[in-house]
Amino acid sequence: MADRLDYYFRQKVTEAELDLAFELLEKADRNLAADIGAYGIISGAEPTPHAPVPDLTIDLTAPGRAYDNLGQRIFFGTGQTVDCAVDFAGIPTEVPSAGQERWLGIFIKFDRLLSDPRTDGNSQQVFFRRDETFEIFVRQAPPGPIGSAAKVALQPDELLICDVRRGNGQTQILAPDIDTGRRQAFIFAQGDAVQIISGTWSTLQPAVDTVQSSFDEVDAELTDHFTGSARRHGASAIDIPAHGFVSATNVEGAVHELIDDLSSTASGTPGAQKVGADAVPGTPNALPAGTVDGQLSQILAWLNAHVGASAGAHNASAIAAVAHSYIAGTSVQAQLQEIVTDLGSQAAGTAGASRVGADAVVGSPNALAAGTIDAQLAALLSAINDHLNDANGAHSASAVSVADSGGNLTANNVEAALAEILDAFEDDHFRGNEGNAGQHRTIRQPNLGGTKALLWDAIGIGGAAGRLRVYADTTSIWFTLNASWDGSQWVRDSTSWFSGGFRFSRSDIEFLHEDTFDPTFTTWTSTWTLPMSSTNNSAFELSGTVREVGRVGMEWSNADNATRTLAGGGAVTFRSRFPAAPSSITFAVSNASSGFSGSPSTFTPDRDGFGFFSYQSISGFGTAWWFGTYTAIA
Amino acid sequence: MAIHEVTPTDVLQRCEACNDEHRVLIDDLEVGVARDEQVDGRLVPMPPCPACGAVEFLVRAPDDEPEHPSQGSFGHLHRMLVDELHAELVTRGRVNAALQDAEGNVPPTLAKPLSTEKRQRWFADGLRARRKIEQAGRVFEEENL
Repeated sequence: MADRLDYYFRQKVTEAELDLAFELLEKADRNLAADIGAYGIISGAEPTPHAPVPDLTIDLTAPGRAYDNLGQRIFFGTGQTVDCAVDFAGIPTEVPSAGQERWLGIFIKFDRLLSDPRTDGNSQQVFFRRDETFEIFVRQAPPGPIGSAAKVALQPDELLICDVRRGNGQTQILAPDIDTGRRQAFIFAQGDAVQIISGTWSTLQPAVDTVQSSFDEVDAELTDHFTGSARRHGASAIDIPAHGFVSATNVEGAVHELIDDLSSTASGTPGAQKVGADAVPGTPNALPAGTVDGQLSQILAWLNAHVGASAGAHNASAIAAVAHSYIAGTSVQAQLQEIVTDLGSQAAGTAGASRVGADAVVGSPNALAAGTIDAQLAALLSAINDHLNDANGAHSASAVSVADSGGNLTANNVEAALAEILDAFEDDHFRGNEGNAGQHRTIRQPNLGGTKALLWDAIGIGGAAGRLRVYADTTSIWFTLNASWDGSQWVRDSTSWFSGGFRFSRSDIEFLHEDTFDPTFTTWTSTWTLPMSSTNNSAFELSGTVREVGRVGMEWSNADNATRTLAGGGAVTFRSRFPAAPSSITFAVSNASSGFSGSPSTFTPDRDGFGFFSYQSISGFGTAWWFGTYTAIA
Repeated sequence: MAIHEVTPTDVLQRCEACNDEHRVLIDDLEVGVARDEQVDGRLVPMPPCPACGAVEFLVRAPDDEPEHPSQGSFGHLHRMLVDELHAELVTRGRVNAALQDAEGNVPPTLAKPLSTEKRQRWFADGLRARRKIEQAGRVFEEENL
């Protein structure tokens, strides 16, 4: 109720008294709202980005109804557009710096709209109507870093519709920029001001019997229930209508039945049979709509057929593979090719052997550490090279086998073979650890057969004229140069050179010479033979063409005092026995006395020599001589 | 000296002392060298070399001499040339008087001529004998006749 004015009979009512009556009624009305505590935006005034094209204004839906804290009614009947580019004082709301934002507060406030002006008795203009209206205020808070900018404080005589966020360079206000979290929605009355009766309640036990306390209790109960911390109830307490293959009518029974049915492994009624599955398209296989059981059976059949296929299941390129280690391919085919390529690689550093691991190999003196084949091959090669380059002490020769493909040895390893060879060698040679190492001891040869056995054949420094051969026959040893025996004749190594040699036996020694240049010959053109076992054995006996030059001389002295013819002479013995009597003897003077006449004459020549004589007429007590040379040819 | 060719009229002689070559008429030659009362009928004295004065005596083979041990050698060929020249001189009567008897005959065994067979075998192209030069050379050469 309102305070009342009791106007009385014949009272002259003043303007102020009439206004007071309205004010008291209006005050009672507002006191009612204030006493109840009702205030806030009841409906409408919902903020949205400006339509149709968002800009820096927002739209408020109509009709809008609200009460402020003084119980004054705020109402607008048409949609409102609020310019957020400036605040209520006309100051721009833009954000000057990047990385910052600014909050705007959109408020609505009660106001009165004066209208219908009239002139009162004092000739003053007054407005006869003062209708309720509203006013919208845009207030801006200072800018701050994005996410932490402060919002505009609530105003005591205004209602906050929403907060609007402005950003740097912003040209549109969109839905995310509008925040209604702090919107001052309508509150009808304070809950703790309304009492309830809880005496018969079985669950709720509010601290005090007020609506607020009861709601708090309900909230706590629901919170406990919804969070599961308390006030849970059994699933059997939740009804559920029977459905499908589930016949139970409460949640617990339905869940149990569902679990039992789904976990069933019974043949013919497995759980998968209870689960439906839609059709699955595919090529070459597709699944029709059915149950999981049916589709699993079909897939199993396909899988078994695929896995059991011995060939042609599908291309390896169709099998995906995850890149691993150095294999980058993403299919089995690609990875297999990459593996083959990598294993066949001969590139330094990435050779195929470097891709293959190998465990450690024990051994002595060498062992291989665990690593790659490449590393172990390198280690082996190094060990082999070290072995081969080892100047001494690599290992015992007895550890090296001997193949002996020719079957020449009894030994089966190098140590024994060397010993065997050295045993044979040292019979006729000095060993390496003896003086005169490698030189021959006695050279012994068995019967070599043939007519003349070749004992030695030496080329010397390579000239055919100096090629030495030594032969042996049944009686003699032959040393020849540029002549070899082919079994029936002598053969020249070179037809540009003479052949020569000598032969000795137990009975004679013979020097040999052949000067025909014929490729072969059977007799030597000249020989010098010393017949050691002959009766006459003091000189060489010659064969072939013989030419000997020697000294011969005579001197006479006439012991008479008258001229006399004196005979002089002597004999010459050839140095060697000619093959026959000489066919020519020539005397050549070297020095003769002035009175010497003619030339010496020869007499009775034979193969051993000749006689010579001369007759000279010499004056009394005179002397004559002749000294010269002879040349004998046979 | 040695003889290298015998023709019907002369003999090609090469001096062993100075190597001078010259021809000597057969008619200027004679078989036999007398010493006191002895005469060696196997000898044929040659005239002194016109170049150096050396004197050569050709010697016929002894009667009982066997076949030459080096058949075909210069020594063998020279032996046969000398025997043939000696026989030719005997045939021509070019014999030292001391070898002749009162009737001017010579002993039938004085000459030792070549058999036809040997002449055909060794001297089919004439009575010539070639002798190799000293054997220091590498290549075969023939001595100039």
